[in-house]
Amino acid sequence: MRFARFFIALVAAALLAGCAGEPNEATGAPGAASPASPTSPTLEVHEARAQLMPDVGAVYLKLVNSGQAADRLVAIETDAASSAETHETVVEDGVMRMVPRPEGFEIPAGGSVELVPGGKHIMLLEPRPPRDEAEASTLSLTLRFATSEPIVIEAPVAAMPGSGSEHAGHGSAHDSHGSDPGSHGSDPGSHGMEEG
Amino acid sequence: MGRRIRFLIILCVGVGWLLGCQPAQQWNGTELEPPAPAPGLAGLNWNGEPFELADHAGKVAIVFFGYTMCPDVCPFTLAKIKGITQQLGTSAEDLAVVFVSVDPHRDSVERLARYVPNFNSEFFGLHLDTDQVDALKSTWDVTVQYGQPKDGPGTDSFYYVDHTGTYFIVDRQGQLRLTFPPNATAEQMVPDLEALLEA
Repeated sequence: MRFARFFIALVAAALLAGCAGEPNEATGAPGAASPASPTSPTLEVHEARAQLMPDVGAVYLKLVNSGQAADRLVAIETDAASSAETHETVVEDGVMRMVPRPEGFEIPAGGSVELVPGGKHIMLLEPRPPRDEAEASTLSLTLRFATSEPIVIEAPVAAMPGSGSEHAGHGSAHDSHGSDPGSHGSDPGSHGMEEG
Repeated sequence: MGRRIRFLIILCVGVGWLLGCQPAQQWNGTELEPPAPAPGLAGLNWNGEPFELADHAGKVAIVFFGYTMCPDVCPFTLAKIKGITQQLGTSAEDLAVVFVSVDPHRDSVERLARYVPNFNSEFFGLHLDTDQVDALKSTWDVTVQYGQPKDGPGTDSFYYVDHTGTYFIVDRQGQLRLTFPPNATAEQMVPDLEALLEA
């Protein structure tokens, strides 16, 4: 089922990219991030979600590179926060340290990089109050890469973990970049710490 | 008479053997051997009321450290503990969950009041003053390091607080019994907490 959905999304993206004649930056559709070439990276964004707290936030996602060349997430742009940076939480001797990663995150050829709670993530500073309901439920980000064309994503916004409405905003926007909407439906608390 | 004494001796030996053969409690967490009295912990709860850990003797306590401007791990830590209390059911009534802010500059009682009850209004969220936070380093062996403000030293801009992410578990007798690492799962913590709550 997942494969079928993925396959349909891939075909649709390929058709869209082929018809439009240019990368589909507006939707961040899978496979549309870079021109088709046997030696270029081919990126997809999966499981994007934003976690907003008062004054700070984080975005988690999975970047999959099915191409034959590595790429690197080097910058994130958004109007939804005063800044968005690549950071990583590391644990050393029981101490949790936040380490800025200005070099970004590599996405190996034929591999992936996961941004998860307690690990690599995009940190948002001073998230702006949403102007309407759409902005309250999704957060728009442009992911910039060393090689590939930028990808625009609409990350569903989760409420504060533990508030009982963690899954608010998970919906169609989540599907638009080809991920499985059920793949991260668990409590983000336990999900994150297991991987932390 | 002799028969009675013989019976008592056999009974004592049997009971002793049984007790001796009882398997020791297997903990998922790291056991502090021997247990020691939990260090003192006092501050202001998010509702403005004074809090002292010693006042909660008779309960099992989870004590952990963090700050509300923590973008990544802390909210998930609190969510995990909330999940644990739900798994424990009514036993959780005897569990004191104590989130201690190590960021006294930003985490006022008012700010904690907007944060902690979102997870569970029964959780304690402690504001400590700077000296009290400094004291944690020796009493609870907690590391707290403040990062440089984002816009440079002396500015009122965002800064990180690197801090110990260990969970400290205090038993009903006020003894520090177990610790768990920051990435411990609810599945690892719940059985240990149940054992301490049943003791």
